[in-house]
Amino acid sequence: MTALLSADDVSVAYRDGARWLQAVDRVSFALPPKARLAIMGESGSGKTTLALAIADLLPHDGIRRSGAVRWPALGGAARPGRDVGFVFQDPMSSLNPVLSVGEQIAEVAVTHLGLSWPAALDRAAELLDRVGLPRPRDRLTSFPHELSGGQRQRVALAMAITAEPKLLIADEPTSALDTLTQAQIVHLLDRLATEIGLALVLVTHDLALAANLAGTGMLMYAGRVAELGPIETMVSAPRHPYLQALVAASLDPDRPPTDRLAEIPGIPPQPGAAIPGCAFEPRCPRARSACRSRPPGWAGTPADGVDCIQFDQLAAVHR
Amino acid sequence: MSAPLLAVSGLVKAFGAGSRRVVALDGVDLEINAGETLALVGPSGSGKTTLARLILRLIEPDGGRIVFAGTDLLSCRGEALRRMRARFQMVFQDPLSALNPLAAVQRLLADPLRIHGGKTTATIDADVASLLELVRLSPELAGRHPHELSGGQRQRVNIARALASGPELLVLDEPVSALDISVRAQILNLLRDIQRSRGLAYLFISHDMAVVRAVADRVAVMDHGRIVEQGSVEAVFTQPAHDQTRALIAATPRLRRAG
Amino acid sequence: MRAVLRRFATGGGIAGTVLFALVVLAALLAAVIAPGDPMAMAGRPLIQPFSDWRFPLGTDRLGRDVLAELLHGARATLIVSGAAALVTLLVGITIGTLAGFIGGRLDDALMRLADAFQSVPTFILALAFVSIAGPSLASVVTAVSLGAWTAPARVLRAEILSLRRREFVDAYRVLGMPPLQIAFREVLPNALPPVITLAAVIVANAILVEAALSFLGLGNPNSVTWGAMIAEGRAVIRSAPYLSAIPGVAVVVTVLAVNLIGDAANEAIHARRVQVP
Repeated sequence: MTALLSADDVSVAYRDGARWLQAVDRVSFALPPKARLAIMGESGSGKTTLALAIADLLPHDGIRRSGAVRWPALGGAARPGRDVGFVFQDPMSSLNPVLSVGEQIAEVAVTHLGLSWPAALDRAAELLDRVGLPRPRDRLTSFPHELSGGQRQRVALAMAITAEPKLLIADEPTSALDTLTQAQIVHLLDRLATEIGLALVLVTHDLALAANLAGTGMLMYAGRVAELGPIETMVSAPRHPYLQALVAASLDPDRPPTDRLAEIPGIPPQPGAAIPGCAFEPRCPRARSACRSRPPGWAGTPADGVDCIQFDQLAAVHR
Repeated sequence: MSAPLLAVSGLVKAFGAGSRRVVALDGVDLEINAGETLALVGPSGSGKTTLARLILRLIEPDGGRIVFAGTDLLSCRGEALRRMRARFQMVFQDPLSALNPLAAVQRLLADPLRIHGGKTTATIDADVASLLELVRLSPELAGRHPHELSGGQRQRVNIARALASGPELLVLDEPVSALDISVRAQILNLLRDIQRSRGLAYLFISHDMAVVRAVADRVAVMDHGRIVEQGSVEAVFTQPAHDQTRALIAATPRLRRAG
Repeated sequence: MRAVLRRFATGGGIAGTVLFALVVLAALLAAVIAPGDPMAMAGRPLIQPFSDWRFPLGTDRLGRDVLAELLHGARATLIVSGAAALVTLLVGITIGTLAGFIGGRLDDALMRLADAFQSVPTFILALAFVSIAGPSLASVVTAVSLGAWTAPARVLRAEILSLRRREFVDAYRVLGMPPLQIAFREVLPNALPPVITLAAVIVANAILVEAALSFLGLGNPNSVTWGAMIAEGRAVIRSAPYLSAIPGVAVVVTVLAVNLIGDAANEAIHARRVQVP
């Protein structure tokens, strides 16, 4: 099947004075239409920068980027603001505080779908109904500050799908919400993606959330892909030592507590630090001297593999 | 049985007036014993944060009693209240926002020592060093500013600052929800070690039931300004009695899907 | 801090600093270059500039050395406008911090007071005050500050209001730090950047108001001021226009220098706030 999106060796660096901080380092992957990818990682791993690069939302100043983002199923390029919808962590910052909810959604419908204003307002009401806001007609005249956090995120979702995109990118869409609301938004994302036939890129630090929503997982560390593959196998049989540690450190409400939680020692590398070998080496329980001297190689296929020297050597033996 | 460290009874608090009046707390009774961790859970808007702010005397209640170690906290004023403050402290949710951006770690940790210890500069330096050691931070971080620290390091500074006055109760308001998973376990283990070595009681506010199960001795579930269920962590998780408790547990994402 | 300085070092920032440094230098060296009383008669009246090497900028109607007057005037101008800006900032910062941090009725009272002061044009207020109190250094400084303190007070109050909601303020309260100490020691320094850029506007305004008061004969009577020099030259503006033009240019250059510095400082501080995450 023709991929909806293919990223080839995408790299992004931010300027910091005279230095360049490498945020994303040669990331490649392909996303089929209607597929769901979870980009996982901790803060500073480059997951948000990668998502912004895919959506072509990076600022132009102070940025150095290379590699290619292509949209084969769309004939090569995505139409800006149209084929990719984006939902941010904080809906308050992505909604315009001085426009009513209806106006904001209708504006998108007028711009991208060429609807008349009354038709666009009808469409906005339809969309608000679709994202599960009660009494959508009355809600059209509401302002963002009159809504709860969960309702705002629903409005942001409605706005993101107004132009009928092929891909929805959600960057930590539930991190600012409480558990109950979070579950509702996850359910809504799931339902919308299925109903509309949307492909989904979920950016999250929460492995459990990713496992519940996505089919493919991509774990990032210090700008590189540490592990990529079907998310079921990633959480049940993690290969990269970092992923193994994350799975071991994850908590489960069904499991009685252990005396000590499994922890990952140390902290992620500073952005811009020169790392000759593997970035995870200082925190890795299975690190060897070779890990320090040369960067790990990708072991596996472009759609399923690990960025770790141990698997690289294993693969070399089998080859 | 000995008297609880903190006893809250009939606490009522409403915000606004007239038709905009919102009852945040509607008669809350709660006890925390010395050395235990009581988790306070509930969705946003259930009154968890209001309860914490009342206990910390950041806001005034409309009614009810707060008794800390036998002292009626609500009747404490001025110097008496300031002295009591040394005994209950708080760790905030957002470790960056809770630190003055212009103050270096040294000054952040010296503040409570000056306020409560009446210490001289020489002993303060030694005390700051031992606080850093307690939260497993390198002494060279003393000269850094909050924006030069990682998220985990910032939260360690917050914990150290809260411990400086030698409190008996720490109110932890979502202390790990802003942290990465790889750092979360470090902080939770650190909190547990400190609790054991110092016999501290924790009021652990969270909406994340997975974290609560890992850290709590007892759990109190809040909904609409009331405590709707309270019990040992084992009882609350294996036999939840209230709908709100069941909903919270069910809504928590699991790494492995059941079945 | 170093990055802010680097961004400050633009064409405008450097030009402003150099010009202002020249004015300061002139004020400092006034007693060296032109010793003695600048108000004393030094030579023949109305010598044209550049015609007599003893009086490079000529003499006025009473035979006073224009260069000496200009240099000593720089000193008076800087002292009055500097003192006025300092008083303005101190009063504005104190009132703004108290209003923003303590809030409630105190905030209402202080802001209504600010409204009252702002409802009268700044210069009329200054004029009225000096007319009643009589011209002196202290009265001119007070007069300039009276109309100016409301701007820094309002800017600071707005900053403090937003900072007050940050968790670190609650953290200090939980620690038992006294409220005024939280307000002035911990919160205030975080609110200063916008006031720093405002300071340039205040200094420039103080120079202009001081010059205008002097022009009307309400300046400090014990020293030469540029405003008084302009007024003095008015009587012979057709025959000796240089007597008004020279101090006039000095006022323009000084105000320009201060504004250039303020703009560059504003750019430098603002750029720091919109950095890429």
